[in-house]
Amino acid sequence: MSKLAHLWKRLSPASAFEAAMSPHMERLWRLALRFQGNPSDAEDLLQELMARAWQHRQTIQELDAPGPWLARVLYRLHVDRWRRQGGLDASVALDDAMQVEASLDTQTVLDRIAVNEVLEEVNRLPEHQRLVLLLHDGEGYGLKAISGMIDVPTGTLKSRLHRARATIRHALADGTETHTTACQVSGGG
Amino acid sequence: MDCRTLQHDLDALLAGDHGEPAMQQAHQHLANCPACRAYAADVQTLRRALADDAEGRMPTAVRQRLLPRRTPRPALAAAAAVIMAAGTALVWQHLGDQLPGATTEPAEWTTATVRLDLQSGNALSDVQFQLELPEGTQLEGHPDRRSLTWHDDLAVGSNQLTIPLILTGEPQGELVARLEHDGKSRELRLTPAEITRRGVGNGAGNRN
Ligand SMILES: [Zn+2]
Repeated sequence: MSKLAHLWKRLSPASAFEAAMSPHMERLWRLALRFQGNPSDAEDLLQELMARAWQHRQTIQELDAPGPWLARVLYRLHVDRWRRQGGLDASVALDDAMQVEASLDTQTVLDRIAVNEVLEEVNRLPEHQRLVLLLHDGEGYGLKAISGMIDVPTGTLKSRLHRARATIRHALADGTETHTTACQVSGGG
Repeated sequence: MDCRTLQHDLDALLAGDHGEPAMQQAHQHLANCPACRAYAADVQTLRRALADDAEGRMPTAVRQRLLPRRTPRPALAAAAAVIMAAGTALVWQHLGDQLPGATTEPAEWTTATVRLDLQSGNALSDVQFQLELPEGTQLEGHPDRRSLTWHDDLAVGSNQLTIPLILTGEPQGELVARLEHDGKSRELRLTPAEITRRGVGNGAGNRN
């Protein structure tokens, strides 16, 4: 393994810490925005992360790639905040075992819908589905990376992602009568 | 391959995570199945909508609150004045107060993290490191130093030296890292282009 370092010793602890955090801030900011939904709460969440990271600054400065570590801590802090605010989604485990039937609809749906309507529909998803959709399709994280970040098995994440996509298509296809058996949710397992 | 499998596992199948044959089956299925084609097209549309929705860069003011030290000294950065957004003006005003004689106008600046890989066949103790920085760059934590010298050990194999820089303008020359040990010396040089390529745009004060 490479020995990191040398120069960190020359910097004041605070400067070295900020220098180590700096390359990750843009990505963390986007994550915090995705988690919290608005810039003000995102900044509060990042402030909490900075405080936590400062306690572990040795680790951060020694890790070759502290990005995943930081993303994980950010997610935990997000969940803590959410719990404190009483907002935990109790339905998390209920639909993971269910199968989503294949959509047999032969027409695309979303290209005929305004982007903001699509995004509104995304925000109506249950939190555990919204989260994986935003991280995967919005931020481009792979399922494995997301699994490491939020401690959910990739198989479960895959189901949630599919369910989220199917739900959005189904919701937005509603009202246009030509669409048939799209995305029925049925009990499984 | 049935429709359910394809739709449920779309990304992994198309990325080849299940192997080449499965990927080809998936493509074949898509070619023959309008329902799965519509599903895949909608996934693409959704992805674009979500990616476009990203709020973009961290506002400069937030960055300065979170990383107060990763801000160049205004006195050195004064050359290129930039029109400020109202939100960032307060922060800079505040900084200006702390630094006597400093201008409150921020320059455009970015940070760059230069990583040098120092390969050593032997463990070496008490190697002298010397850094020389071109104009237009500052070493994080040492805003007023153009060169810095220190001693450290090198391990066998790969040693990573991470140099956190603030770019206050175009680098006006090469960054030189010189290592000396036992009368021998080695030099690494980075051109201005190589330095700026590592830049992480932190935005000037013109975005909020
Ligand atoms: Zn199909």
